[in-house]
Order: sequence, then C-alpha cells, then structure tokens
Amino acid sequence: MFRINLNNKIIKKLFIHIILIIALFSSISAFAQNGIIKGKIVSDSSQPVEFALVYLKGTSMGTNCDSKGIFCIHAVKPGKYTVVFAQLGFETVEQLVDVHSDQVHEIVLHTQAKSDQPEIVVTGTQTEKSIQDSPIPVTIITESQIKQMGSMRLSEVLQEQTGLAIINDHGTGIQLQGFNPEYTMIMIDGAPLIGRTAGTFDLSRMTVGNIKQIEIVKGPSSSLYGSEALAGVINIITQEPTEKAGVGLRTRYGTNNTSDVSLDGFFRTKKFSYSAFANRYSTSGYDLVPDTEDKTVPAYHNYTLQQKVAYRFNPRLKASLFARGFFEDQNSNISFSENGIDYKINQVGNQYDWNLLPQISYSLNSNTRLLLKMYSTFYHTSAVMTNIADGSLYDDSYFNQTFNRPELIGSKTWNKKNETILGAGVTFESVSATRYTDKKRFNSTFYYVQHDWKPLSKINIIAGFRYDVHSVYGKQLSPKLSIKYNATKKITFRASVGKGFKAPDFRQLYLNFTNPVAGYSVFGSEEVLAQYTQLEQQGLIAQTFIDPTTLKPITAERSVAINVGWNVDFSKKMNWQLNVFRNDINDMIETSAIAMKTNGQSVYTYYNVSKVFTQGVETNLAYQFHKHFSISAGYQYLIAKNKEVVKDIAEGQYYARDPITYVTSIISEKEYGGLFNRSKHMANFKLFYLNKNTGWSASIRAIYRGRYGFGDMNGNLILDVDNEYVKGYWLANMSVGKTITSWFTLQVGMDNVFNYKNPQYISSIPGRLYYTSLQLKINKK
Amino acid sequence: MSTKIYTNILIACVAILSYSCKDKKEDAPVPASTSTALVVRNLAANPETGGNGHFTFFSLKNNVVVPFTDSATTKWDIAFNATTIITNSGSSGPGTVGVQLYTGLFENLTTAPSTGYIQDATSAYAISTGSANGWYNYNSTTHVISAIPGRAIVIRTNDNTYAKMEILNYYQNAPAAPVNTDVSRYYTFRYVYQSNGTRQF
Repeated sequence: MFRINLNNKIIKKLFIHIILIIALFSSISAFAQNGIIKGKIVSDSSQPVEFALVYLKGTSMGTNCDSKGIFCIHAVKPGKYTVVFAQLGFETVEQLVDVHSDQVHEIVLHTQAKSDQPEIVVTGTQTEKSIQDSPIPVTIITESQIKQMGSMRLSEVLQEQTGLAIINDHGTGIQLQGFNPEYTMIMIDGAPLIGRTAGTFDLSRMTVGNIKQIEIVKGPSSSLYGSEALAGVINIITQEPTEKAGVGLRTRYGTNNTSDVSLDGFFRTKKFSYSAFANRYSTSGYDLVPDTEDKTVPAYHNYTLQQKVAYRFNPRLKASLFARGFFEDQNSNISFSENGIDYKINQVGNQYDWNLLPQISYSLNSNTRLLLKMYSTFYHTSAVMTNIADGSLYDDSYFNQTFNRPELIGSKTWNKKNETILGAGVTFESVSATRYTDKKRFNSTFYYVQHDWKPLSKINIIAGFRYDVHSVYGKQLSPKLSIKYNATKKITFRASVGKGFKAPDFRQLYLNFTNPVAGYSVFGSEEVLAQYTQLEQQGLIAQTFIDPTTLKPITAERSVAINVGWNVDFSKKMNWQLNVFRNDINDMIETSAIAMKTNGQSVYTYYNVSKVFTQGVETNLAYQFHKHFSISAGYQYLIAKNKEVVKDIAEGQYYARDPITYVTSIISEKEYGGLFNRSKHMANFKLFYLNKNTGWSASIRAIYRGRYGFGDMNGNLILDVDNEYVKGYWLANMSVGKTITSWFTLQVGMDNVFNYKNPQYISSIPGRLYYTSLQLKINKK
Repeated sequence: MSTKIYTNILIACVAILSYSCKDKKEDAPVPASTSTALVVRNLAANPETGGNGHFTFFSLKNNVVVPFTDSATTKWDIAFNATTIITNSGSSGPGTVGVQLYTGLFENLTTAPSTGYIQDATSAYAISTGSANGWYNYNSTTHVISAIPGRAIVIRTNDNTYAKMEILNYYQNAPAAPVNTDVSRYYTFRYVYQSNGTRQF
C-alpha cells in the first residue's frame, strides 16, 4: 500500500541545522530581518502529533512537523499571522502570532483527536484520503464493526454489505454490481491475491482476525489495478501497531464444532515495528441432507500466519516486509455411482498459498516520493482420491500458480491543488497443473498515471489511465475520470466514468481437460486447434459445429462503466448515500461446444461472445438516533441482462414451452429475468448498540436476498418462468458482548436466527449457528 | 426393444382444421380434410442402455417405426440417433425428403413454405447438429438437452406431402424437469401430417 504522508522528513534534518544557525544568528543579533515561528503540536492525550501540516494562513509558507510534533517556520516577515495546524483525524487548530523581526516565537498548539475520526481510505486512488474527500466512492468496514458482528471469515463480513451477494461456484465468492466473482480483485494491503478456481477466489480462505478495515471500491478500477478490477476492488487492510506493545487472544467456538483461535502480538520503537498474527480455523462441517451418505460440507481445518516488519532508516528512507501464509487440509469421503458402478472414495485435499511483499519508500524531497514494491505470491492445491475398499488410486490432481510483480510508484505533490502519481511494473505469472499440457507463462508490463486536481475548493477531479501490454492477449488502455463536487457543506456529488478489463485467465487460454468419467473435453483457446486436430486425426470427432480455425483469437473482456451518486449529511448523526451505476461489457468470454465426439460428448472451448449490461441503484442510510444506538439500512436494485437476448426477445424470437401442457408462448421483455444468479432486490437492516461506559454491546442484522434465477428449466436457456427462481430469503444474525475489564471481552451470538435452509439450491447456508467468543487484549501505551 | 407409439388426436386440431378450411374458401375445391395432429412418445433413439447402435427410422405418413432392414428404401422420412436427426435424402438415404427449420409458434405455422427445403449432405445434415443450431439446446451448467421452444421442423416427405413437427422432450417418459441422470435419447414429439398434398396444416 502506498500512502502519502503529509510529513516531510527532510525538514527534520534541515530543522536541526536551521536551529543551530538561528541560535547563532540570534545570539549575535546580526543581519537577520525576519522572525521565526517554532513550536510543538500536542494532542489531548499529551502525545505529540507526528508529521502534521502547519502553515500560515493566506501565505504559501508552511511545513510538516517531525515525529515529535515539533515544527519550525523560518524567514517569516514581520507581521500578524494565523498559524494553522491540520491533520487527518485531529481537530484543526489556529493561533494568532505577531511576528517581529529577529525573534523566535515559540508556541504550543493543543489539539484533540476527533471523536468521530474520519476514516482514511487508500484503495480508490492509491493515496490516503478521508472517506468524505475521496472522489471515488469507497465503502469501509472497520475492525470494530467486524468484532461486533462476531465474524471469522471474510465471506461472512461481506455478505452483510449492501450490494454484495455471496455466490458459490467452486468456492465462496462475491457478486458486485451484478458481476460474477472473477471480475472483482481481492487484495491484502494492496497486493492482489491469487488462486482462483473457475474464476472464484474463495473468500472463506481469508480470516478477519487482524483486519484494521476492509475497503470496497465499486466500479471499474482497472485504471490503477489492471485486469480483474473490472467490477471493483476489495482491499483488506491489516493492522499496524499503534501502541508500544501488545498481545491479544481471540477465540470463538460454536455449532458444528467450528472453532476459531487467533493470537497476535506487536511492538514498536521509534524506528522499528513488528507485528505477528496466527489463526487456526476448524469445523466439522455440516449435513443439510442427512439421508444421503455424504456431508454437504465436510470437515476441514486451516492455519493463517502473518507478520509485518517495518524499519525507518532515516526520515527519508523506510522499508517494510509483509509475509503471509495459509494452509488448509481437508479429508472427506464421497460416494457416487458411475456407469452403474458404485464408488466409495476418500479424498485428501490440500491447499496453501503465501504472499511476500517487501517494499521500500524514499522521499527525494518534501513533495516527491518513490515506492518500490517487490510482490510475490504462490498458490497450490491438490487432491488425491483413492478407493476406500482397496486403496487404489482413483484420481490425483494438482494446480500451482506463481505471481511475481516488481512495481515502482512515484508521487509528486506540485502544490495544494495538484498531485500526480506515476507507476510502472511487470507481472510474471505461471501455472502448472494436471489439466495443463505443460508449464504456462504469462508476462505483462504496465504503466499508469493519475492526476489529482482541485481547480476550486469545492471541486476535485481525478483523471488517470493504465496501459497494459500482455504477452498473450495484447494491449489494453483503461482510462478513468472521477469528479467530486461539494455542492454545500452537507451535500456532495460524485461521478465517474471508466473502462475496465479482464484478461483471459490461464484456464481460458490453456486448459486441456477431458473428464475421465463423462468423457467431454474442454480446451483453452490456445490449445483448442491442436487438440481438436489430434482428435480428428484419431477419428474421434463425429460432428463439428464450429470449425476451430474460424474462431477469432480470444481477447480481454472490456467494460465501460458510469457511476453517479451523492452523499448527504443531514446532520453529524444522519447520513444518506446513493449511487446509480451502469456497466456495459463487450466480448464476455463464454464456453461453447464446437464439436461432438464419437462418444456423444462435446468438445468445448472459450471465446468472446456475449454483450451484457448491469445497471442499478445502491443506497444506504445510517442514523445514530441515540447516544448508544445506531441503525442503518441498505438497498440495491439491480438489472443484469444479456443484450442479444433482449434484442431477440424484442424481435419475438424467444419462446417458452410449458413442460407439462406443451403450450408454447412468445416471451415478452417483461418475462425475461436477466442473467441467472442476480437478485433484483437486496436489502439489509442493522441495529447496533454500544455503551463504552458499561462495556455492553449488541447487534441485530437482517439481510434480505431477493429471488434469483438458478438455471433454465424450460429449454430456452434463459430465465423466464417462476420455477427457474430460488425464492427470496432473510438471514438474521445477532450478537451480545460485554467488556468486563478493559482487556477482557465476552461475546455470545446467533447467526441465521430463523434457521433458514435451502438444501436444494443453497448448500452454503448451514442453518442456525450459536457461538461464544472470548477476547483478551493487553496493550502498553 | 419395441417402441410404444401412442396416437392422440388433439382437440387443438379441430380449431386448426376449421381455420384452414375457412382460409381456403377462395381456393380451388378442397380435398377432404386430412391433416391430423399426432403425439409420439418415448421413441427410442439408440439409448445408451439397450440401444441397437442404429438410427431409428420413422414414417410420418404411417406413424410407425420402420425396421432397420428397410433403411435403404423410401419407406421412412426421418431417423433419430441420440441428438442427431437425419432425413431420407442426399447422403442419408435414397429418398427425396426436404426439411427446414421454422421459428415461431407451432399452431401459427398454418402453411408450409413452398421453397427452402434442404437435404442431407456429407458436409452437413439438413437439420443442423449442435446446441442452438438445430432442434435442441444444451445447458452447459446442468448438462440437460432440451428441445428449443418455438422451433419446429417442416418436412416435405417422399410422397411430396407436408408435415410439421415439434420435438418436446429427449428423456424417457418426458419428465417435466429433466436432470442429466435421467435416461435420455427417448423422443417425445408432436407432428401434423397433411396427406392431401397441400401445404396447409
């Protein structure tokens, strides 16, 4: 993560020199005509405020404090000045100073941390901005919210957010603005996470035990992050040590023997900081259909280990290292029958991934900074299936993915109104797996630039683009323009237009897979011609639907998106947000059968076919109606449709036939329900109670997911009749906690209070869950 | 394995007949009303269990399965093997059958087109194979084959008579919501055969 601090470390050294010189000069009372203002910023807790900005109102004179909160503004012409202190998270303070020539004016500015501290976000622009100031709308989920919800995994946290729906397809993913999980980039501290199965990054891999906050950017973010950020970005910001030292323990145990234990510790000195985190999660799984032999979700356990080291060599040079590892094992028995033979299989699954992110930041001068990141990550999964009866091997498969990315980012603050970021990097990726012919490699070079301009005090414009050059699928230009306009103190408008793209992934390019049981084959676009020719030569192709030589080469999926919205602060306690969005995506990649084999099974490949749009409105209302109570409501209305289907329906080309009466009718535009798996209506209501005096806290959260299509039932492949929908449902979760002493908190909770289950269509909702949790936290200030 | 063929005369037929009679008022003297709507159920098309490895040959005129031994004759019009349907023409047989696909409501197809009939060739069958190309859709999520709603096959037979045909189901006993484990390659279809040589249904 790249953060622009308002600090100016070079000043510190200069400052010492200047003090000496000044001292010399003032002692001999010669030459100097101008005065000096020096001082210190002290917060309410008597802690110095680090690196704050101090300037003289109405002038261009100003400086940054050092790490002790000391500042010095020299060469001030005699006269009356207002010294202004400003720092995110603190009250702005002003003080009048009458500067005389040849005098040093010492002042102490007293400030206090803002009670409603503005939340700082980084994901939208790669620079630190308070959430109100960001022209790019960012949703933030804080640590305290996560704790109050009692959540353990990222998927649990995200499913309660407005506009996000959980999708289960080879793992638990998130649907954002109507896009499938493969279109949303998942990052940890700004580093992209890899290891997707069929496009889904399994969010249950991520623990939320040491998260400072989760930032969600909706709308295309390819202008900064490239491929995968077509729908948006979810960035997990891990905790930084804020105090001198501390240790913490958090445990939770509940239904299905689900246990979650997190241990963390940290310490920091002036120059060095270190934090470590470990988590173990285990569950015995659950069974929604007890009369079958297999469990719906079998038992598994996993570990997460994480650490962060940072060292400040001098005020200009800082280095840090982030390391994370995740390990999961699953052992399960499955039974099925194939061609009349019953199989009982033991499956041993194993997956792990690690991330390593060393970075160095260097300030060339007070307003120019460089950041070098050397990110590398690795993902592995494997499954060994053996027959229980005789121990013979049934199937053995593995998947390895590597991702390495050196990236250099420069930022320059020209003045108070202009700031530019430049970035460039190279990504090296490779995959080797059972389903790939050999080790496959990608590499891509990218450049991006972003300019932040405040032409007027009420207007902030951010414009930027990114250019990706990829070894396989070609070049992509992804521009984005965002504007924020503060109409009044209470009303802010935001608008953005941008292009997003998603590169074809390894699977879509290189998959070489023939199902050993069913006998069908799926080939990536780069493999299909060779594999098809081979099958044809072997006489295994019965019919060809599409000659693979006529297929156009696969290209990236591209989208254009518009987001327009506003934010209204009715009062400090009441806030209303609204965002209208429209995404048009061309060249969506789909699988299609190109030939039939002599065994009657198809040969599939991937190519760009569909044109799709998603549009809707998302709105949130939050109200702190009592000292201890706050309430919030969120709602999303979504329409997501295939444009060709819409066109064909308009021309009367789509029909539905009742499978019992065989009566056929023409489908009207109204009957077309759009893409499968999208809920037109989603809503949430949350009530939080927090009393810091008594230590009690509580929450009740209700989440509604409106009906959505699960699949075609009447042969036309589109969503159009009632029996193709999963009924809408409510999930209600609640928790009660009590902080008994400052370092000890107990919590009990119940998820899915109404015990909603839908074994037929939703295997990921286990029914009502009870849990209890315990937190110990000891910090040294 | 014998194929049971049930014949139903649909009530809808009455309506169609009366409509077509009205329509022909201005035409030359109309032959006796001769078109009937029939439903054929569970026509086995080389099922995976108990299949014979051959196409199943069918006569529209007689509404019967023609024995395999008569495959080189013009006794049959169309034949079924899994999802593939061939016609007695060109590369597939000695006959002169021609077919074309029709998109629309089956009952709205009151007159067969006069031209546009195609025959089987070595390069491609007259009824295209593959999902969404011919008579069926393949659902790549559920792996279910379903007859495309609103799609019919218009057939000009060996006798130069016309028929229209709509496939309804591909699974044994025509389940309303088939799944991919159901026994497949059992056709249920309906057709209207006009024996008087006109193109009116």
